[in-house]
Amino acid sequence: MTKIAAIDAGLAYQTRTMEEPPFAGFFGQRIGLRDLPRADLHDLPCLMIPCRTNGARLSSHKDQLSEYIATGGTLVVMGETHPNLFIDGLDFAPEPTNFWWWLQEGADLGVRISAPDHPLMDGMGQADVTWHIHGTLTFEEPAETLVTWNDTDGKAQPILSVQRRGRGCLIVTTLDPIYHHGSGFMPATTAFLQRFLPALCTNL
Amino acid sequence: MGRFLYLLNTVGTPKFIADPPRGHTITVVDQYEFERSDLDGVDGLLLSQHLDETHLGELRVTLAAFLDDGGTVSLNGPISKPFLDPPGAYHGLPTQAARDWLIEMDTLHPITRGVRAEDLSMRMGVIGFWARGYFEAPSNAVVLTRFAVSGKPADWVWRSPGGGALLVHPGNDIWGYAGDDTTARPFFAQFLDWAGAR
Repeated sequence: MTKIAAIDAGLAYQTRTMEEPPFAGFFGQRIGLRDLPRADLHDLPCLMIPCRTNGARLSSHKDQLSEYIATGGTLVVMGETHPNLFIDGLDFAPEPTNFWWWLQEGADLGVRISAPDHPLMDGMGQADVTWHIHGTLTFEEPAETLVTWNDTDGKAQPILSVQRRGRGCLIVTTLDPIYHHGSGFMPATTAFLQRFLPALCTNL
Repeated sequence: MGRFLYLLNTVGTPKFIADPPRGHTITVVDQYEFERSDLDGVDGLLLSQHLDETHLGELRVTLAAFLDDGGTVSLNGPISKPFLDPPGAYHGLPTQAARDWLIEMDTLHPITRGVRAEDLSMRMGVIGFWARGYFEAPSNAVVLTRFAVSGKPADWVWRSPGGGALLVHPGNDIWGYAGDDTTARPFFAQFLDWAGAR
């Protein structure tokens, strides 16, 4: 099984997710955020930027990350990272978080799996992608959208997408499962990682 | 009024750090650009749950010296790699039922004056934001809140031998409640008042 290399921003919830069971085995090399300028990314099949890594710090690495994808790497960008700050060709629109939606009458956050047959969605159910909305994505070039959120106008907006770029691939989401799993709340986020991480490693 | 230092490691500055209550002053410094001299003349250091703990570990001596010099530290979040002593290791408190995360008040303290346990336990009816685990409190710590079912300590204050003070809060950053329309709202302001007056 191919392992996921990851930027290590030293955040408690990242550490707990990447170093402890049940997910430690999916992660390989960790690159400290401060070491990124000196890191050689070329031999890494997959590099993840985990939830809530400070996207403002990554803005100076835009070219490095772009070249990584263009030369065949798979970059996986998780939620609450503000990917528009360090990835060209996409925009991120933040959304205020309704964390009590499930207590409201007729509760439905409006998250939908739009590409259930995609390998990264293997075994994924709607409940596994449903906890909070933090924002939506738009792309300058075509991207395949795997998960959407029906916005306040009822329009399905991308929240997890895959885009081929050069010889590589960008996988980007506004979902933040590593933050919640590693912080010890929101069981759906653990369920998401139980599906997403094996699917990612299997399909690299 | 107190003078505080906040280490920033997020894209934006939290609302009540940028605009602190009751006339207190909070200087914001990028975490990686922090220098020891940034603590000169500062009453309290605000450490968020969103900080690089590897970097904080490199600052262990500086942080301990700040406490030894009489400074106050607000420590937030379910820390993974401790960089201060105390606290020791964080223990998650898995829920068999939602009530396992309910909070109750313990020792009366200026920080928690007027704060009701139900407003810490629940936000908009949702349990778990305040705390989902604990750090064991040293025997000479003052416990402000506890988990009602297990009796484990949630928030506690510890006086360092050098005259400093540490507020340990094992959940989401305390300044995140400063806009709540409940009795949880003054918790952060009262911490700033207390630390600024020490």
